[in-house]
Amino acid sequence: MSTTEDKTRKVKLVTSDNEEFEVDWEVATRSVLIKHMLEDIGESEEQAIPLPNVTANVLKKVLEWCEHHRKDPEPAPESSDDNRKRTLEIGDWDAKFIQVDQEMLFEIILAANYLDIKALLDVGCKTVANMIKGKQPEEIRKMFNIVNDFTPEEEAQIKKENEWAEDR
Amino acid sequence: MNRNDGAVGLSNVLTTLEEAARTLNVHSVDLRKVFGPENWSGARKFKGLFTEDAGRRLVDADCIARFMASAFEMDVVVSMLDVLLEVAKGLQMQFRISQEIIVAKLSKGIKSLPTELLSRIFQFAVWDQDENGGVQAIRLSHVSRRFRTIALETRGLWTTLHSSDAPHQLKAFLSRSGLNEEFHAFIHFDHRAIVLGISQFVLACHPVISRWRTLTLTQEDRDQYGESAHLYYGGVEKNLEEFLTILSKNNLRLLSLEELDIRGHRGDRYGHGGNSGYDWGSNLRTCRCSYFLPTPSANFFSVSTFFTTQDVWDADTSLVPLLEFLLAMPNLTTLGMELYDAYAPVHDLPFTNCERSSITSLHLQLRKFQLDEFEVGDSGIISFLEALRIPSLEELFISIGFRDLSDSEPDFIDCTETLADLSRALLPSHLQNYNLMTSMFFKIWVDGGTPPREPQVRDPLDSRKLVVPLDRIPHVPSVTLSSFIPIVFAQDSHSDNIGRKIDSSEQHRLRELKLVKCENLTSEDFKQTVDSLQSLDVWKDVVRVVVEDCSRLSQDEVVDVIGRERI
Repeated sequence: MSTTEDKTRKVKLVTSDNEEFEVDWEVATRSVLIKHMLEDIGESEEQAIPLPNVTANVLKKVLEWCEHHRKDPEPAPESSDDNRKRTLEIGDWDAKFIQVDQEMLFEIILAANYLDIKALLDVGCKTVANMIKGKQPEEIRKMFNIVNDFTPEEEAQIKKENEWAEDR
Repeated sequence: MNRNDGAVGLSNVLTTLEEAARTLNVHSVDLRKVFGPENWSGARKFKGLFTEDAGRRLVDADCIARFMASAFEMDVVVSMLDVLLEVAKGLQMQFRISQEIIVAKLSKGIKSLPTELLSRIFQFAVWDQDENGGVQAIRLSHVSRRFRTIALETRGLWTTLHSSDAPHQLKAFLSRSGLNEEFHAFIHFDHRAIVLGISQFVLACHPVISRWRTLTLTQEDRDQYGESAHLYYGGVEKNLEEFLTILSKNNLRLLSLEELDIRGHRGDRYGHGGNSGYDWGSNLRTCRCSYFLPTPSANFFSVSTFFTTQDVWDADTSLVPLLEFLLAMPNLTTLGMELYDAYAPVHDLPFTNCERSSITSLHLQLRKFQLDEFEVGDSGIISFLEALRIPSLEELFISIGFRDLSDSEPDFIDCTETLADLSRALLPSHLQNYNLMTSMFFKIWVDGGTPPREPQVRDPLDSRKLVVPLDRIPHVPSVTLSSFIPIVFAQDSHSDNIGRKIDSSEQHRLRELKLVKCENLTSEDFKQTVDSLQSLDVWKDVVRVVVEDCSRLSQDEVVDVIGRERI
């Protein structure tokens, strides 16, 4: 539970390329990882939080998301069946936010995973899922530059399975 | 033949092999059959000599010479193949090494994602595809070796079971999904179901039927079948009936089933609701039914959420069964109804009262409503709402989509009167006693197809109004309204009574007013809304006003009308 004091507090974050960001406590603690680290170091305002797995350009983008969603309620604990009910719909702001090149998209997903920001991770994963859904394997390969590395034996099995999939 | 001719002949072997390797679907060809001994000319000619007494059988010198030549040919073939295999394996290794380097470079993006994230992405993609989730899972497993490994390890990808799936596909899915996953089953009524029935599918699912979490029944659009369309009538009902009969015969129960979704077709003909009288489960939580209602039974006792879409033109076959079905769900908390043709009259009135004290949330959406056809006195929907008693109601959502709402001047007063009658009737008098109500959402819109028609700029002479009967919702603290015409509150809906003050005995609780997506609302209209509340002596208790997405009303104008303290 955040206090009024917490909300006015600033937090320093240091990226892997040694860039320092000073952000509001409320923004930084959208990340469960940072929140726990802040709990560990206590009241010390001077101590910067190192984020060795995130570069400055990616953290900047992640913080933009955290700033926009600073007032959002805490996400509910995950249930796999609830997940199934969820569609791939993404809010208007998030959809615009995530319109980035593939390299940045995957970097954001990795950063959200590392920083433990579930809602941002979902936005990223849903975006990739949206790119994948309804596509044939060859189209997916082209989209993500994936090479078909199946052995002939595997290809034969796949051919059989293709008949299942397309013969409905 | 000179030396060069021989080399050309040998190089043709390589060319032919390479061409053969490019043959379409070469992996599915049975190579042992193609290259079997019976296809070798030498072997064919001397087949009878491959015995221990071959020496006795070779009688003349010519025959011996031809046999020896063939044996020599075979030695050469084997030595060529040995060399070919050695070189091909060396080249294959070089290709593999380079291939891995190229793959690593090309697919760095998605390759950078760890297995658990790709698995999560795959699940989103599969879940989104609903009944085609199985096809999506198969396609994902055919992209690359890594994708396949992850897909096969993600058990949740293989839980969509469809009645159109081939038996070996179902078997593979059951095996891939493991022992603990719950399943999402789809039973579709189509030509195959007419000819073969659905027993093969249900029995293939037998080992996991107790782990079905959701079941969806769908049917083919019969209109596309022209003269044989009659075969496709009553699709979901026929499948439900057959399904329940199979369950009953095999003593199967849907112990984990939490959601049942039955998607019939508007205008289809259904009979008795697919009844089999079989007690198939007791864990159902959510039930959705479109244009079809199953027979009420104990199986629906545990349902807490029920959504239905119905055409209620004929109340006897729609609204009356709907009330009966509601009685089968004593634990219902959320009721959603999307009703078409709800303006239709009914002659056999009133309906028998149906009290559902468990319901806390009611969503009523009237679609394609024809106001000029509506009469309170003989309305089926009004009789239905009078009969439905929901004393624990907390949230009420009413949305009316009007078809062909007249916008010609002579009809303006009539329109306001009828609209007032409608809004009052949709908030029946027993609502006044529901003191647990926390919010009401009331919306009127033009239901001219999807998306709804853009609002027209209002005729200055247009006097139409939405009259909200405040006396019907005295306990509601928060009211949200959305309308394309101005809104006024009234103690009584009739225009000559607009403005009668609410008696001190009629304590109201209105504290919050929200106006959302009132596209045509002007500052003057907004003032009229506020004035109507003032004249009822209610405005003084309103502490918060929210105006959202009302494009013709600026924030400054809102402040001009109500000041800043209530915003």
